[in-house]
Amino acid sequence: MAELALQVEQLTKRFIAPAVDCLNLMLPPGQLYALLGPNGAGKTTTLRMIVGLLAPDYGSIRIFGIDALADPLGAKRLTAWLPDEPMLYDKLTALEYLEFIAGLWNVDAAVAAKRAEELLRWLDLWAQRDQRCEEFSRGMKQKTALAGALLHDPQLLILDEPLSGLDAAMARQVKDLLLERARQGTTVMLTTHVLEVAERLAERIGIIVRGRLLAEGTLEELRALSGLGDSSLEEVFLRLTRPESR
Amino acid sequence: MRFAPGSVPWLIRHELRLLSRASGRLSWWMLLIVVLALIIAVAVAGAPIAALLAHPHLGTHPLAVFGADIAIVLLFGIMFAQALLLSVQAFYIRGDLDLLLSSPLPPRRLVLVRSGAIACSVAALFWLLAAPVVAATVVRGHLAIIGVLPLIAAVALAATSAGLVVAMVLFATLGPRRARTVSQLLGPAVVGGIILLAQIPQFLPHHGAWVARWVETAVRLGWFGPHSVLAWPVRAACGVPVPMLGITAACSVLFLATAYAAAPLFPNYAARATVAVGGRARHRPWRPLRGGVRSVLIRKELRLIARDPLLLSQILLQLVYLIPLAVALATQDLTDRHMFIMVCVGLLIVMAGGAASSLTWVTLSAEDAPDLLRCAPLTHGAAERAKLTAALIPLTGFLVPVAVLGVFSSWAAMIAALGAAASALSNALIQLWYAKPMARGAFRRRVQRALLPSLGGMLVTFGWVGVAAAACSATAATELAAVLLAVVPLGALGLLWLGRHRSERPLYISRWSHEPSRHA
Repeated sequence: MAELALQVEQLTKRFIAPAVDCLNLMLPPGQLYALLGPNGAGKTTTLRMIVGLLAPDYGSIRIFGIDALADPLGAKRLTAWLPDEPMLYDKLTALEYLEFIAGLWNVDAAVAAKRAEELLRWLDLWAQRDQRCEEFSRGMKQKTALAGALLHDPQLLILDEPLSGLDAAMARQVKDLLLERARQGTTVMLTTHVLEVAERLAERIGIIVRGRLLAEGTLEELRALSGLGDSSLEEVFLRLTRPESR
Repeated sequence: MRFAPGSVPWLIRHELRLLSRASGRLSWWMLLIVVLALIIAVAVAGAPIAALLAHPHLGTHPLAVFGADIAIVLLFGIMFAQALLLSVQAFYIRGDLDLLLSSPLPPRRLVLVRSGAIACSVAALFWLLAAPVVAATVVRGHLAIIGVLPLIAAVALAATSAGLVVAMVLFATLGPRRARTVSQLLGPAVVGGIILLAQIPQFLPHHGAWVARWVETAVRLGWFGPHSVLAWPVRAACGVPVPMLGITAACSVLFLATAYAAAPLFPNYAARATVAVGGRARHRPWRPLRGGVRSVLIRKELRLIARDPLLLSQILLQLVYLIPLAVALATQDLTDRHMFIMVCVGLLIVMAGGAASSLTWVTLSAEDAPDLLRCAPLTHGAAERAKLTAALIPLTGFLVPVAVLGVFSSWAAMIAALGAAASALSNALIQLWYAKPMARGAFRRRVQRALLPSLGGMLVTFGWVGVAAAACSATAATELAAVLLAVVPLGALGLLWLGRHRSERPLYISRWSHEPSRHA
């Protein structure tokens, strides 16, 4: 069996109540996985533990076989994280931001320069490459952060609401990019409240409620589980997350 | 009390509520410290000044009139600098601005209340400073001194009017982005300029005796006589009704007229401030940040510091505030060369400590994207060391005044260099131990949010000044004293180290990945 891109076992995090409760996930390489759930279900907490921003109370995380708790730097080299609020420096230009990211992940200068140009051109930011991020709109900031996340060519891409703030054309472009990356072998895990996005993109979908994985599978498997034949993911999601269904 | 929704008092209550919650709630011990500080201020500073103010002929004495006029000009200058900064920020700080501008409230009402809030912010500090003196004077039976408080309010209204006008002119002529940068530099420059100008007479021959001669002439000509308009400020401060009401009414009318005139422009400028306003950027090639993660982080930090004029001006202003103190000390007797050199050494040590503390706070506590660094493959220690290095690099600028000092005394220069280095390093370490995530915009509020490290830093800095002062004398006895005195800063540093954040390292790399807690 090929090595898993992400293996999460018994992941647990408590704040006042359990935010994530004995969560198990297994993502093979190249899979596009959507983690869905109502507000406060524990999606972002799960992602923040996987990328090393939050300490789990219990459980293990392995990224391409690397124990992320024992060797966090090794795991971080393979991972990129794109939160819903872009992690940018207002006083740096888009190009300087990418130079900084390339430095942090120690990407070869020539490779980084080529990739940065490709990404900025593709994201329609090339003309604004020397403008400071403080002058950008919300969508432009999100695109700059996305370019930063992709610059070091991560093998595991973790995105929290990646389409927030993007216009329709750019959202479409980002969706196509995520599919293309997944086809090339990058494992993509994302959360979204726009269920059509998950329906269109994700090979597998996990539904998390109150920190517990309620259901997981392909759209067909979830339809079968919910007892709704050809329904949309929205209907399946609402049926499965109804209090009386749990 | 209930006010009609949308009315001016209703909006004022809304502003005050937001203002009161902006700085967080005071803990009981902070409240205790404030009350104790006020009592001490009344006892130490308030009482002697109150005795002076209680003089029966204060309001009519020409020198008092002249002094009050100068004080009003200085007060206006300082308040104007603050008001200008706040006025330009009012266009940028969104908060509830978009909500209010999109509501069916007349813009004039909104601008009036916003400008009033600026005037209150500007006056608040000076009310606080005046409170001990006023309280002590009232206790001595001179109730009329309460006139100082409306006088401060009147000057704040006038300064806010001027700030609003200049902000509008800057916006109209330079555009939003440059207006913000210029206001950030202009405000502190005005304050710094006033402080430095005030020191000029100290350096003039005979300590500015010509100023005294000019004042005498002006007094003889009756310019500062009791019935002159120039006597109004001091008489208003002494509670004489006509000048007090006259000045307050004139400043209020000026303020209302300015707010009324500014109202139609305000929504337009506020809208322009939100739009991307970058000029034609010069395109430059890819410049890889070489030299490893440490070098990458250092260059990033230096770049961010260099590009934040507000932050830089605030840091420099802190240093400028120290100059009058040093000049006052040094010019007690300039013929005493030893005293002059000691003051220079002390000033350099205090300045280096203050600058190190500010810059380390910027690099460590005010990291814009902490999650980015925590996600990156670099260790906690590497990030901390790089950020500390970046904060200390600009302090190499202190080598210039140290070299100048070396012309007078090489021993003193060496002491100054060592003292400044010790002070800078100590303050940087204290900031590291007590790092607390904050936004860069909170620079001016960082002291009240982290009182212990701020006070600790001051104690350690003055400890090093004491050590340097003893060492400067270069006698066997004082050198021994210097060694013994070093116990004070080192001891304080040790105590601060013991009380440092042990469990929480919130900024860069969470410790969990190295020390996971795996309790079921």
